[in-house]
Amino acid sequence: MGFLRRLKNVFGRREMERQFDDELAFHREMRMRKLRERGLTGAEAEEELAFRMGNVTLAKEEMRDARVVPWLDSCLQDIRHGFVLMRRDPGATAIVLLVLALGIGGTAAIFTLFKTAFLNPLPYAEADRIVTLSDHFQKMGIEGINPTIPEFLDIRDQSRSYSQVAFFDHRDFQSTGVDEPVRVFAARTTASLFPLLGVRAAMGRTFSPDENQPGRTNVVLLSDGYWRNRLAGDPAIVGKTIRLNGEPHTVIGVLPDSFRFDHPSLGIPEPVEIYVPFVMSDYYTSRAGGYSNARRVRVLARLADGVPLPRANAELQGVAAKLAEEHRAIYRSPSGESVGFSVEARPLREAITADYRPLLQLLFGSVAVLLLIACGNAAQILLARSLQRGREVAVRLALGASRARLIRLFLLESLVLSACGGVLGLLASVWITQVLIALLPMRHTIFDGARADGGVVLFTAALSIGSALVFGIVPAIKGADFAPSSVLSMRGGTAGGNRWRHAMIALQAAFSMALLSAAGLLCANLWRLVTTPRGFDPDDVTVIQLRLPHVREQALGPSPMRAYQEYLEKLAGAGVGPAAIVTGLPLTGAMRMNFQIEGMEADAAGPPRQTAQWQRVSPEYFQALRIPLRAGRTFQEDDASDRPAVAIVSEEFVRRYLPGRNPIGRRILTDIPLTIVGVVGNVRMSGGSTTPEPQAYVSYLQGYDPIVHLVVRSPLGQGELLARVKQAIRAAYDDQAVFNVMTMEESLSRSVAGPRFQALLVGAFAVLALLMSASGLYGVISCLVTQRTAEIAIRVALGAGRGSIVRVILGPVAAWVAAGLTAGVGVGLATSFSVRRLSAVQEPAAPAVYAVIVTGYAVVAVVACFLPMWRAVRLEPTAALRCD
Amino acid sequence: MGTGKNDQLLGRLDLLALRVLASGGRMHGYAIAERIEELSNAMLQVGEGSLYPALHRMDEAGWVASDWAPSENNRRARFYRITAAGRRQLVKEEAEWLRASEGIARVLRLA
Repeated sequence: MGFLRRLKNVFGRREMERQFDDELAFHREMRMRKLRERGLTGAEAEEELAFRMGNVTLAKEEMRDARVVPWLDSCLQDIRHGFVLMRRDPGATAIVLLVLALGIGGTAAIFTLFKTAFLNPLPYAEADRIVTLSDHFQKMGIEGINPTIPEFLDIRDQSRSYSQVAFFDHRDFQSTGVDEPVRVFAARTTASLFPLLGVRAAMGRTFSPDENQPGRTNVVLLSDGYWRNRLAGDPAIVGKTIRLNGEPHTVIGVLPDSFRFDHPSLGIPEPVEIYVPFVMSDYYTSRAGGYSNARRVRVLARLADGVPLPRANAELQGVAAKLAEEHRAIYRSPSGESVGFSVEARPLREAITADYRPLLQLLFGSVAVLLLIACGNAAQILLARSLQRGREVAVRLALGASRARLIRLFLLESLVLSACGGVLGLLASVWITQVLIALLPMRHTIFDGARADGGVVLFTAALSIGSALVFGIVPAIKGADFAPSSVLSMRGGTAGGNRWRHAMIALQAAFSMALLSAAGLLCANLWRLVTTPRGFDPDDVTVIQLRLPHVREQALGPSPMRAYQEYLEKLAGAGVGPAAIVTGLPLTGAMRMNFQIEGMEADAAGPPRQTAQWQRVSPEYFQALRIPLRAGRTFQEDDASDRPAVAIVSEEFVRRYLPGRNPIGRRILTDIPLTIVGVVGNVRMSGGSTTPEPQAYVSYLQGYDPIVHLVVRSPLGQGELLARVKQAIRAAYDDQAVFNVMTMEESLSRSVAGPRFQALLVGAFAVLALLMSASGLYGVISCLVTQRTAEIAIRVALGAGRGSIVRVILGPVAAWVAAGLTAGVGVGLATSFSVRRLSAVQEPAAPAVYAVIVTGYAVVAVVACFLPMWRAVRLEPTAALRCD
Repeated sequence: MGTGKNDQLLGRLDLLALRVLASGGRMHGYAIAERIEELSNAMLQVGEGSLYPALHRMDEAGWVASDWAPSENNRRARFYRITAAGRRQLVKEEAEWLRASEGIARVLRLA
């Protein structure tokens, strides 16, 4: 209990002091009265009183020491002193708080994202028990693809490890809008998905198992967004019907607003608007032909109670082996060898967040370096300050303080600074987090709940304490070193500590250089991606996506692609400019397929399987995008399904697979033979790479894809163009919805969103680091000039020229900075491999990049040194020596 | 610390204060100081420089207990009284003092 009271006294000082004063005043009064009784006069009585009272101040101090928790009390005193020092030099304090807020705030922001993605529980019931299953075909080099529906059913029947299993995929539907058909993005699920995730409908109910059976599936579950936006939040929506793909579907429920399951890393490219039951008809559930024909879906499972993941995986191995035995036609290659089929369960969190891990690691690393540089600035300012307090240190030591006590004092003062910086940083991090999330290049459902909660506050507190130690330890130790010479001289103060200053400058240079190297790598990569020719002309091109409605497909029987032909015919008459159909847009990727070239079939020792990127296009495609035709001809309208199959290949295709030979007339063997009729220029199909890839095109009338893009080159404005396109298409078929309308420029911009984000962010960090380093350099040079004012004055008086002054002051600094830069470039080179791995950059930076960075840093350094050096060389010797 | 007369307390202020409180019951600091002076025939004069810190230390150590109460002139004062632990401490210190002074006396007599 005594301890508690002593604790209270630490914080309730004033009350305690008042009591002491009262007690002593009482004693004084009694003594006075006694003295007067004895006959002393006023003045004599006062004198006698003072003599008898002794040293009251010391007495009160001893009373205080008896009544408090001593170490806590002195710590509190030190902290108060820290605040006093902060107020005394607002300029320096502002700089330290600014750099610390930036460093700590940035790190806290990245940590917030990291925590949301990797540490916070997913918003599903007991989400750490949910796994996702994937197939591996080891011998064929295929890893982590979704299982097929027959495999799902077998696993469900043969496994004991799961309490629930479910799957889903996605599909485009068409609903009748107000005055035009509208495309709706839907997820098709098993009924078990919602109980597995632990989600209940906000209105109505979710699917019942029999609704997955054929004939019962005309029900639909709405997302909250769809219900509010498209159906005006109709409170009586449950039970009503909406038309999807021409058929009425009954609305059985609306999902809660908080439910989000459309993570892009799970294979859902767009936000899901509605959910429909997957039709478990024989078409999907039976195994037909080779392994690649069956539909693949994303499978989820909930581990049964008490079943650890390794046991579930072991069981899966058994199931996979059994399947491979039972269905040899599917799981063995034509020559009878095993394809290495296995199934693996991974935690759901891993599948959702795997994409973000490299990015967050990259950002974390960069911001940590920034924080270290910020600590360097703080250390440098604190070092200057602590060396200026030589006299104060001398007095404290004389009063009996130990060196350890002094070091504790300095460290606590650093803690005050870093705590204030931490609070500011925490506030800043809230804003920075929002900005980062807004700029993220990929769609990100997982970050919806990102906020600075208790964990982030704890992290920031720990970071502040750690930073205080990092930047405070050297100034503390140097400051507590009692140096009589500096104290006795009037100018005392900035002497000493120079070697540490230079070392800190070198360290800051090294770290900045490392960060700048990473930024340079990413920026150079971005530049390359943006400026490498794409192989086509994107100006004035608009792209529109469309999916042929099921009804139309069926109506056109064996040749649904004739619908596209009709659309293009109508578009030709609409006066919009060249228009074409294509399955995969440039820079967003195309399907890869293997093939053989007739007459050059792979021999045993020959090159690996030939592969190319394939697209299905209409005849005007090359003209619409201005892709040059190098040889032969483009497709014609009579390259239709009843005519021999033809193909057009790219220059890279010819260079790689038919070097020195005439490609026209040669045949490519896919599942059907194709005759090459033309060669076109290369087109970049991947936003993240610039290596030319072999490409092949087939005619849009010789095969069918339900989802295609329409590309139109037209000088018309977007609104006008879209209106005419829709009109033309509706003239051919009334119920065709179009979606994902954007200009080709927009599409290109999206394709480099990832590299752009990385380059922007790391670049921002690097620029901040550079500014901090420059500020540190400025501080050090100023310090040096002030320190050596007398020396410079004497040199000038003795006739030294400006150049020699500059050399004398800057010589050692330049040497240290050069050493730091060299080390930094070394670190940058050493870490460039990791940076490339984390950012998916394919080529290392050219040496020119490093040269530019080093030169840039040197220029900034010169500018930073300019002002203090200007002062130095313009020193008036008499004036300088006078104020000694 | 104080100068002059206070040296004569020979650092035994704790002992003296405890002894005074042992028979004096509840006293405030001034009363303790006066009593020590009175009993020692004005040879020991207690200054505040030593008395009050000593009293507060003993309070924290649990040898005395204190509380605020109105005094004879109706001003509030802090009153101290000895505790059981304080009595034990008194016995200990008294024995120590007697041992030390006996030792010194022997040296003075026999050397």
